[in-house]
This record gives sequence, structure tokens and C-alpha cells, in this order.
Amino acid sequence: MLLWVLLGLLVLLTVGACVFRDLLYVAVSLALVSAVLAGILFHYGANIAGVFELSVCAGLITVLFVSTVGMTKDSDQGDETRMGRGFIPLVLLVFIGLDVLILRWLGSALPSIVPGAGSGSFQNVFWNLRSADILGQVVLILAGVFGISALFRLKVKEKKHE
Amino acid sequence: MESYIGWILLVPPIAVLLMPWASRLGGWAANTLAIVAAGLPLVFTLRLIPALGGGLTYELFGAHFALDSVSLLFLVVVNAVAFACMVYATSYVAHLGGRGKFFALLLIMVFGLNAMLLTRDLFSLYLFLEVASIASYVLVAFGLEQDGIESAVKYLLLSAVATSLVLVGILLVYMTAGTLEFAALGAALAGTGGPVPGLLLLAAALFIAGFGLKAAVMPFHAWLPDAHPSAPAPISAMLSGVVIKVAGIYALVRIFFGILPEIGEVRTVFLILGTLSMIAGAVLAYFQSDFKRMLAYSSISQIGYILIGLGLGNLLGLVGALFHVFNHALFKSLLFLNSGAVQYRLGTRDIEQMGGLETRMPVTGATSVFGTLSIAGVPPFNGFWSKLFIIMGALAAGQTAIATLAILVSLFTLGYFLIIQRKVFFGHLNEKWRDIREAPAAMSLAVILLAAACLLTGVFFHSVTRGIVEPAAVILMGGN
Amino acid sequence: MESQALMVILVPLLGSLLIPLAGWAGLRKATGPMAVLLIGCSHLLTWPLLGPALAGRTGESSIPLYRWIEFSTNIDALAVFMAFTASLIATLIAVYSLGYIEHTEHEPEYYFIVTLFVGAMMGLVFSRNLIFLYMFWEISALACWRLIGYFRDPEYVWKADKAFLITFGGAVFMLLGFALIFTQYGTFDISELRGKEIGTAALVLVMAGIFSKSATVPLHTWLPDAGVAPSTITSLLHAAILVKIGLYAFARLFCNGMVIAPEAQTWLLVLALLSAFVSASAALHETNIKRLLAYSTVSQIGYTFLGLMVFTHFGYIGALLYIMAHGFAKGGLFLCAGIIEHGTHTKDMTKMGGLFRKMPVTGVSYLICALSIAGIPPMAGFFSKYFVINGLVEGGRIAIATLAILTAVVTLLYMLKSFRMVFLGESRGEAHGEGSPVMVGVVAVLAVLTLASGFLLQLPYDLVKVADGQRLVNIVSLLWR
Repeated sequence: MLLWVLLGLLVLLTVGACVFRDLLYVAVSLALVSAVLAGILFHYGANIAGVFELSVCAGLITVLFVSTVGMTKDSDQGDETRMGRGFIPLVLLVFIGLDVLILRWLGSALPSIVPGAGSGSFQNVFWNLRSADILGQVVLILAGVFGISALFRLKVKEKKHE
Repeated sequence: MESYIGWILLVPPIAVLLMPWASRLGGWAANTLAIVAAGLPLVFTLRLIPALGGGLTYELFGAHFALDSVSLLFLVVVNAVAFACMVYATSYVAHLGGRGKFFALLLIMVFGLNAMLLTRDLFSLYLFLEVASIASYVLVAFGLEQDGIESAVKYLLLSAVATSLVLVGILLVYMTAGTLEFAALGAALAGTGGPVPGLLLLAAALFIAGFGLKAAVMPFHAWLPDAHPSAPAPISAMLSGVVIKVAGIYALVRIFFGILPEIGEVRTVFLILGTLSMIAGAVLAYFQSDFKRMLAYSSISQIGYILIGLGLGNLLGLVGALFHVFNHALFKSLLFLNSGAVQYRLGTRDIEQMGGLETRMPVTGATSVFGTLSIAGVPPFNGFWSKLFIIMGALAAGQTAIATLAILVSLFTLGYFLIIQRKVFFGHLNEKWRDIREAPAAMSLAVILLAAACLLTGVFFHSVTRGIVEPAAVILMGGN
Repeated sequence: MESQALMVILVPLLGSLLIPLAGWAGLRKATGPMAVLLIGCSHLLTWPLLGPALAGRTGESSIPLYRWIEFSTNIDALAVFMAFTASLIATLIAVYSLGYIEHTEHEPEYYFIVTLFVGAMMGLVFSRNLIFLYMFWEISALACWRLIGYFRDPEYVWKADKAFLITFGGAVFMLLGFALIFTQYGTFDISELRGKEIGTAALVLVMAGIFSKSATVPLHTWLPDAGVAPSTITSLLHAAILVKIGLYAFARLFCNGMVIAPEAQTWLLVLALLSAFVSASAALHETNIKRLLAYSTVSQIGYTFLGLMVFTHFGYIGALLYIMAHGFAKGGLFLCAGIIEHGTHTKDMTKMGGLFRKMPVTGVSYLICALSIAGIPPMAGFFSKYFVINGLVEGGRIAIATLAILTAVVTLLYMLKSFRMVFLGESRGEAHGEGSPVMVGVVAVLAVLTLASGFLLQLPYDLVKVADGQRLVNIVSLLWR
């Protein structure tokens, strides 16, 4: 039952990622796709694969990709980023905090969803076996944040010129 | 001593976190923070050289990192070039804007590369590769001009292909061995004894294609001549000098010398791809009139030399290849920084419009001569020795034809770099540039440091070879 | 003796690095005297080596660096003779530069590279390891590149690139030849290679390097083009350093070292003769004074190669003496050409004439040097040419000896032609007086040296005789094996 719910969510979110026009929603749904996919992998007992899926933060990479492509077209996305311009450090901390919270929640929740999944419970896999990747993941998020802020700097700068 | 490994890893990300506040304080604070954050890992790396011994391990919050001679050699390269680029960038970034963001991304890139070198797990290697790559995509587009963004997208797309190939390769390895930790992998795969399983052969092919793309080896090179020239100069220097080596060559070296069991064909593939890249890169470079594009094609050619050295299968070839990694990082970043200084002052990269600039930009002119002579392999500069070792290795392996081609290509290399010298620096001053001044002090300082490194590692090549190159090559031979 | 030789190398090589520093520090004026001092010091340091060398003593030293690469030196009569001659001529040229190169734009660079150039030559002469021989070889090539393009005209820079590419190309092939020798015998040490036979492929590759450096037909084209350099530099290239490198390398590698197969020897002799004759004919038709002298150099180099390649006593002695005689005379001729060029603002001999009255000292010096090159007694050129031809006969190469004499006649023809066109007859263009006293003085000194080395031939002969003795020992020890 749970599996079907997850699969349905996955399809919905994927479709959503394609349909949404607002970049922010696209990003969020992609990130959620990633999370749901991890849940499915866990359901099948592929604990390490699930952790991998989350660790890569595929969604984040895609966001960057989409925004880079967005830059080449003449879109009008400057406003929401200008808003965030002054709060980069804050956004950064919130990002990391949320990330850690979500992962902790997943850590405690998932093993109960998938009872008896073997030695590699999520918590164990994530915090003990793959701990090097946490560092990588944190910096990956940093890269994303700074990358997006650096790229949207364009709009601000160009508008000043005009 | 082991704690230095932790500091090398942690200093850049900590500085990244502090960067927004530092840039609030002003440009000087951001500059200081960036230089310190790039300088400290270099200091720690250099201090690790005498302490290395048989290798060091370090545990950071339960994460395992380890350092051996191979990693150390690449660490020196990464941090030395990154430091010079950072010094250079403190001046250069002024005309781009977004100072703090630039430094932060550059530091993230450095972190990704350092972590790649220190991790002992195939998947973590992939993850850190992504960290460095994401920072590089953004940095390529940092100038926010049309061609920069376009080539960043091209770079990103091809890199995405590369990393998917690598990921599938990792998956295949995991299916075969059930682990991704280097030492355990080596033990698990070496035990088979008989013919290499088909899955591993497929994985090997995927790794060569994936990391070959990252290293811009010949059939996979298309992104490099776009991405490297359109990036800001310090980023071009980092990409051509360091990133293609760590993301491509280091990964190949780790996987094929120590993890996967010995596959005879891999060497042949290295030799063929290397020769192809060496020749084609040089020929294509010859026809460029864009300063940085010429340098980018010459990077492909020099990567070819490195690959040949790896494919020879003797210690001398490996010493040559690893030393060439070291040398190429120094002189190619030097040349890219030179081209950046010229572009910074002139606003163009077209060598046909330049001429006689050494009278107005003496530091840039003189250091570019150092770079030219190094890359062409003129003794006593460093490039000569690594090419000599590769050629001697080729002869020792019975590859006379490849040795002859390597010699011919080095003549060709001198040929096209003399074109740069003649059209850009050596000659009468083009009247258009009568009022051009030398690049700002920080930029000049960076190129002086690199030029001095080119000469000194050439004159004292034996210290460098004995100290950090040969131990690395011995480890690779032993692991093979 | 070993540390002495090391000083001869290191004083100009490391000292040269101070010159650009002085240039940046605003001491432009001091760079010239610094260069003269460094090169002069290097020359003076070779004096104490003469005694032991004459007594037949040899020395070796070695600093192992990495595997088969060692910085090793070899001090014998040949090396001391070359170092002494080259540094003497280079010192004189450096003094002349003080008057000639003044008021040009890149003075510190000029003196820096010249000093580096001399240092490279000294290093090459004393090197025993093939890798270091190659290294100094290339340092001289890159020095030559900067110096030929010194005046920075697009055409000049192009010619500088051409010279660099040809000599670098030859040298990398030579390096490949060295590597082949290494794969055969497992060493880069010249003294360990003594008496070993060199393979054909390696010989062809090494000779490509030697011929490209010593401007032998068909790899000679860069040398006449290099005439666009300042006259001091052409003089340095022709007389003291650059083209002599190939000759020295041949003497070191093949007369004192490896053995060449007899068929290969015949081919080499024919090539050298061809080079001597063809370029002498080219010189006959040339009206640009510096190009004429350059072709003459190509021809004389061919002559010297004949002496070396025949592997006989007279040939070897004659060739070494000729290296010295040609150095003094050709150095003098090019410096004369420099004075003439300063005075008339042209290199075209058809626009000169009647200069003898305006430049008497230069005229006399030019005549003495030209006659020495043409082989007229009692100048040193005569004796060395005689020895070379005698050596060819001694080696049984009668036909080649005959053609060599013919070449000498052609040489006399074009030398007299150039003297007549420049100094005799009616004046055909503007002409100022003599050059500055320093410049004329140096030219006169070279003319006197040319004369003196003829009259006092015994002094260099003794040293060269020792060198020949050391060569013979090698061959004899080979026969005993």
C-alpha cells in the first residue's frame, strides 16, 4: 500500500516538475522526487542506494541546470532573487538546518516504514557508513546557493546598466 | 600531523561560510579571507611532505580520509595553483563584480578537488567530483556574457553525460565487489585470478569514457576549447591546470592502478588516445587566433603526453606522466593568467590585434616566455624533464614511434607558442596600445610566483622527482 | 681543476641573472660593464686551466641528480682550448658592445642574454653528460632567439623564430638520438661511451642536431637570415659560440667518443665538402655584406668538419686550430661590418666604396681577417687550412682534398671582392668616419690576434697537440680491445 502511495507521489511530482512554470516549484518538486525515490529504494531494502540517491542531491544539480538554461533566455526572474540577495547567509543556514532536520526525521521514520530491512538501517548507513558524504553534501548545497546567487547577480547588474 | 588533513579539508568550507560577512565588511576583508583560506591548505600540504612516510589516515566526524604519495602529489598541485589563482583573482575579479561569491565558489571548487584526493571511497570520489564540477559550471558562466553562459551549459551537459557513465561504472563495480572502499575493492577484485569478468570490462570502458570526458582526451574533448577560454582567467587557469588533471587523470590513475585488476587493453587504449590527443591538440592549436583557445587546445595536447606516460606501463613513464601533471599545472595556469592579464588590459583575446606588448607589460611578457619555454620542453625549464622521462619511458617500452611523435609534437608546440610570442609580446608595439599599463600588482605577483616555480622545479627537478613524484609512481607500480 | 671549471661555467650563468635585476633597479648604465666583467672573469678563470691542460692532465667531476642524469664535467685539452678561445672572443665582443648597443631600447635584456649565452657555451664545453650537453645546447638556442629578434621588426622576429625552430628541431632529434644511444648502451656519460659504435639511426639523428646548429647545407638557411641581429650578435654567433657548438660536439662525441662506421664517414665527408663548396659559391654572388660573411661561415664550417671527420692527426689539429683562427678572423670581420653599417647605414655593398680613406684602421683589420679566412700565409687561417688538407691526404681522401683546395680559391675570390667593393674605388653613398674608439680598438685587437696566432702558432699548436694525443689514446685503447 505504502509503495503505491509513494509511486503515485513520484509520478505526480515528476509531472509537476515538468508542468510548473515557476522555477521555485520546479526545484521543490524535483527535490521531492529525489526524496520519494529514496523512500521507494528503501522499501525494497536497497538502503545504501536510497542514501546515495539522497546524497547526490540530484534535485539541486537540476535546479542549477534549469537556472543556467534560464539565464540564456530573456526571462524575468530577477525579483524573487533580489529579495534573497541580502539574506544569503540566513538562507544558507536555513537550508542546512532544514536538510539536517529532514534527514534526521527520515532516519527515525524510514526504518519503521521498512521493518527488518537488514543491517543497513538508514541511520546507520547515513551517519556511520557514509559519513564522508555528509560533508560533501553540505558543501554541495553551499555550491548551489552561491552558484544561484552568483548567476542571478546578472539580472541585478544588468538592470543597473539599463 | 594527521590533523593537517582535516584542516586542508575544512579551511575552505569554513571560509565559504564566513565569506558573506567578510564581503559585507569590504573588499579587503574578502580578499584577506580568500587568500588565507587558499594559502593555509597549501602550507599544510607542504608541511605534510616530510611527514608522509608510508601514508596517513584521518577520521573526521566518523568519515575516513587517507593520504598517500599519489594524493599528496596532486594536493600540492591543486593548492599551489589555487593559491596563485586566488592571489590573481583578488585583482581580476574587480571588473566582474560579485567578489565574495567568486571567492566562495572558487574555494568550494578547491574543497571538492582536495576531498576527491583524500577520500578512499569510490562513491565519495564521485560526490566530491560533483561538488567541484558544480562550482566550475557557475564559475565558467561568472562573466555573465553570452559565450560564457553558452559554454557553461555545454560543459554542464557533457559533464552530466560523463558523470552518468561514471555512476553506472561505479554501480557495476559495486555489483561485482559489494564494496566501494578502495583497499577492500582492490582486495576483492584482485582475488579472482582468472580472466577479468565482463562486467568489470564494461565498467573499465565506462570509466575511461567518463573520466576521459572530464580530462578532455581527444574524442571526448569538444567541450574544453569552449569552456576554458570563455571562463574568467583564474578559472581557466584552474580548469586547465588542475581540474582536468584531478577530475580526469587522478580518477583514472586511482581506478586503473590499484582498484581494477590489470587489464592489458587499457594500456593500449591509453597509448592510442594519448597519441591522438597529443597530435590533434597541437595541430588544432596551431590554427587558433584566440589566445585562450590556443592555450585550451594545447591543454588537450599536453593531456595526451600524460596519458601516454600512463599507458607505457613502466616506472619511468609513470614518473614522467605524474611529473608532467605537476609541471603542466604550473605552466598552463601561468599562461592562462598571462592571457587574462592581456585581456584585462586590452579587452580582446585576438592575437592579431596585439603586438609588442612586452614593452608595456614587462612582467606579463617575461613570465609568458617562461611559460612558453616550459611547455615546449626547452631545458632547463620543468616541462623538459617530464617530457624527457616520458620519451625515455616510451623507448624503454619499445614504443619508438610514439617517442618520435612526442618529439615532433614538442617541436610543433614550440612553433605555435612562438606565434603567440611573435604576435603578442615580441616585436614592435602596436600603436593602438601605447597607453596600456602593466597588470595590477596582485596579478603580476601571481604570475611571478608561477614563473619562478616553473624555473625552480626545472633546475631542481631531481628534488621534486625524488621527493614527491617517484614515491607516487612506485605506489602505482606496486598497486598494478 | 674541477672547481675551477665549475666557476668558469657558473660565473656567467648565475651572474647573468643579476643583470636584469640591475636593469629593473634602474641601473641601466651598469648592465654593460657588468656583462663585460662577468664574461671577462669567466675568461680569466680559464687561464689557470691552461697549465694543467698543456701538461696533459685531465679531470672529471660528477654530481648525481636522478637516475642516469648527473651533472658531470670533463676537463681535458680540447675543453680548455674551446673554453679559452670562445670566452676570449666573447669578452672582446662584449667590450665592443659597450659602444655599439648603447642607446637601444632593451639594453639590460641584451647584456643578460649575452652573458647567459656565454655561460651556456662554457657549460656545454665542460659537460660530460649528454643530457646536460643538450640542456646547454638549448639554452644557447633560446638566447640566440631573443638576440636575433633584438631589433623587434616583424621580419626580424620571424627570422629569429626560424632560427630557434630549426636549431630546436635539430636538437630534439639529437636528443632522440641520445635516447637511442642510451637504450643501446645504458648510459648518457660520454666517457663511458668512448669506443662504442653508434647505430645508423642514432648517428643520423645526432648529426641532424649538429648540422642544424653548425649551419651545414641544407640546414644552413637560418644563419644568413640571422644577419638581421645586431652585428655584435652575428659576430658572437659566427665566431665565438653558436656555430662552434656543432663542431665542438662532433669533436667531443665522435673524435673522442663513439665510433662511426667507415661508409657513414664517407657520406659525412661528402656532405661537409658539399656544404663548403655550395656556400662558397653562394657567397660569391652575395652583395649584402653580412649575408656574404654568413655564407662564408657556412663554407668554413664545412672545412672544419672535413678536418674533424677524416679522423687523422693533421686533420684534427688543423680543425681545432681552424676553430680558433676562424673565430678571431670572422669575429673581426663582423665587427668591422658593424662599424661599416653604423657609418653608412646600409648593408648593401653596391652602395659602399672608397671607405678605406675614411676608416683606415677598420680597413686594415678587415683585410687581415679576410686574408686569414682565405688562407693566405702568414695568417693563422693558412696554417690550419694547410693542416686540414694535409689531414685529408693523410686519410687517403685525395679527391676531397683537391676540391677543398678549389673551395679555398673561391674563398679568396669573394673575400677580395668584398674588400674591393667596400673599401676601394669611388664612394657610392654617404659615409661617416670610424666608429667609436672602443669599437675600433676591439677590431684592431682581433686583427692583431689573427696575425699573432699565425706568427706564434706554436702556443695554440702545443695545446691542440695535447688534445690530439688524448684523442689518439682513445683510439689506441679501442684497438687493443
